[in-house]
Amino acid sequence: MSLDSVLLGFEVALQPVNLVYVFVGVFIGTVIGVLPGLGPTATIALLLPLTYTMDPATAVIMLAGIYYGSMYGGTITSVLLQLPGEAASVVTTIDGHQMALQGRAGPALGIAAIGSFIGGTVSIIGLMAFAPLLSDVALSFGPPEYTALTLLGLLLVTYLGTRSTAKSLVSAGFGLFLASVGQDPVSGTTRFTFDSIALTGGLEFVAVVMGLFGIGEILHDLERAGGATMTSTRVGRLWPTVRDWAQARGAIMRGSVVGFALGVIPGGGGLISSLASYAIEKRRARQPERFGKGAIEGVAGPETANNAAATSTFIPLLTLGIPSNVVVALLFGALLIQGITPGPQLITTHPEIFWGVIASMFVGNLMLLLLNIPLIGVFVQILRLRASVLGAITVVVSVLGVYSVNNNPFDMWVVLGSAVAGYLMRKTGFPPGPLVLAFILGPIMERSFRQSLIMSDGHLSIFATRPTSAAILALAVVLLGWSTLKGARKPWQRLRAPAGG
Amino acid sequence: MTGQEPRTDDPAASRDGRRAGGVVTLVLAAAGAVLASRLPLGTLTDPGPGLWPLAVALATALASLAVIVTDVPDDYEGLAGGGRRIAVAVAAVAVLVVLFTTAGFILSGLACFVFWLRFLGRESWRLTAIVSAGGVGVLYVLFALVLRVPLPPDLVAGLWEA
Repeated sequence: MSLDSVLLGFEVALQPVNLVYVFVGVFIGTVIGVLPGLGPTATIALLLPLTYTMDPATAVIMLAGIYYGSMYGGTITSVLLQLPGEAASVVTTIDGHQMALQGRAGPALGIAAIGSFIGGTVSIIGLMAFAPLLSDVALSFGPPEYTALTLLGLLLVTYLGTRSTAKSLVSAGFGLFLASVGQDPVSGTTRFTFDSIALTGGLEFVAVVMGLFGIGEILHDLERAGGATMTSTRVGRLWPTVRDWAQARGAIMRGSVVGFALGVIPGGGGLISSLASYAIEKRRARQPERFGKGAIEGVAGPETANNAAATSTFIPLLTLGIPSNVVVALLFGALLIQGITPGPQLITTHPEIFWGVIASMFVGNLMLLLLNIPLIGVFVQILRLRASVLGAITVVVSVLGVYSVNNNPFDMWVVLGSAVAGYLMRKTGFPPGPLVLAFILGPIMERSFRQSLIMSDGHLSIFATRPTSAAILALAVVLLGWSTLKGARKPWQRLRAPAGG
Repeated sequence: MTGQEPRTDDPAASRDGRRAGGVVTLVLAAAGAVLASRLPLGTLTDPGPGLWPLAVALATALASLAVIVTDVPDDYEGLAGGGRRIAVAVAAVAVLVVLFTTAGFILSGLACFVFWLRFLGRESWRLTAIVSAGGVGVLYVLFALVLRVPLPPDLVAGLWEA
């Protein structure tokens, strides 16, 4: 990392157009973070068509802003209403809402905003320091390493993020299969197109994501009646006291490190890092019984960690070209649409994107800190937006947006089919996230797998004889073995449990 | 994000749905394997277009078997009486797509907004009218005029221009 690179980043991030879009991104992110039901994944999918006309750096700056902005927004409803606007804020409901009930909503939100800013900033510094090093290492990777790495990434996502590993694997399998629809990248033969010209180019990524996450989520929400009960909207004084700060300081520092580290791991990110931070703080506390009753460390640590993780999840994307979770997969898709393939070369071929996006995160975090403190009351009012209005807008924007990608009516039917699939997956416990991630990683995986076989004259041993791919695959095998054993033990444990237990 | 919501506890639905997910995905994966095997598979030295999808389909079938064995009933949500509403909503989106390509965005968008707000959401006519007109207006300006997306021929815009 040189000072020139960092300066280039800030030069890009501080351009007026990028300042406007980072503001738009973090503002939309905060709003959808507040709204339960529409998460960052669905929102980014809905807004992808709007980014086609933008400069690539501007597009990613705005979409990234939505992602980390949603982490801030989710905190507000978690504290005030015990209602996490998005998954990573679930942990904050425990102590944050207790603080609100004790009339301390202000300090809870204040410390969360400050912690998020510090976590985000620490993570940006980490990103600046480590990402170029990792890029250098990744430049020596060949097809076998990429095959192993994408496989490990997929396995980690299925293992870390969900309840049932087997169901996540099935979901990922369908994602890989759907990615193979269309023209074979090597021979040009068409696959699974059923003689339809519309399918020759493959299934449109935006259509699949909009269906699974946009309309699929809305259909799922149609069944759920009722809304949030506003228990307390009184925020009061936001600035934490000296005592609050003394209690939260350590949690913020540890949360920054934990969030950064877990964000880098594929499948990691907001939820896992906030859970880990909460567990660490509770274990370290002199009076662990305070947790669950309004301990400020229980808000400061997880909120810092989820924001730090949201930033460091960009490391695998920007350096290896491998998205580590679904939201980042959408950013990967946004760059592909712009004709840019993220990977180790990005830092040299498009330094303005690499460093501009990183610097914009610092600007965005600062904006969020300044936005959140005076505007918390305004954001809470957004909860008055009715689910039916949100549903109608999502449906119409999805159909119109996907048409605007290729002007192809067939894509609208893909949205509808994916929406029904997304709804059924939610009803039956199959997570749609691994499907989308596999859909994005599918072509990289297939190409590198086939290239590896050609390189080795058909010997699968190539994956085991090259040290890096062997080490990555060994990790994947251990992980798969462990989760299989864990899954297989569950039914036996239930059978052995006493009746009614 | 999704996939983390607590599941509703509906024992009847759980009994009905249990293992159904794994069986359906097994059938789909098997169908995928059959389709893939009809493509040239090539050899390991020179892999054909069918080899990768066949491997993926077989791995998915294997994972589906694991789902059938390890699945738990509380992973399934009951329909909670919402099945008909979902079917109607899906049909509404299908009508939107058909209308969009035949009559253009303005009419199809208005119809979808009105149906979703008034009939699915049971909102007042006043709110329905305001949100529908405002929503379609903003989206038309954004996509057709600002982003210049070539939308299908529009009946309403045509009448307006005439």
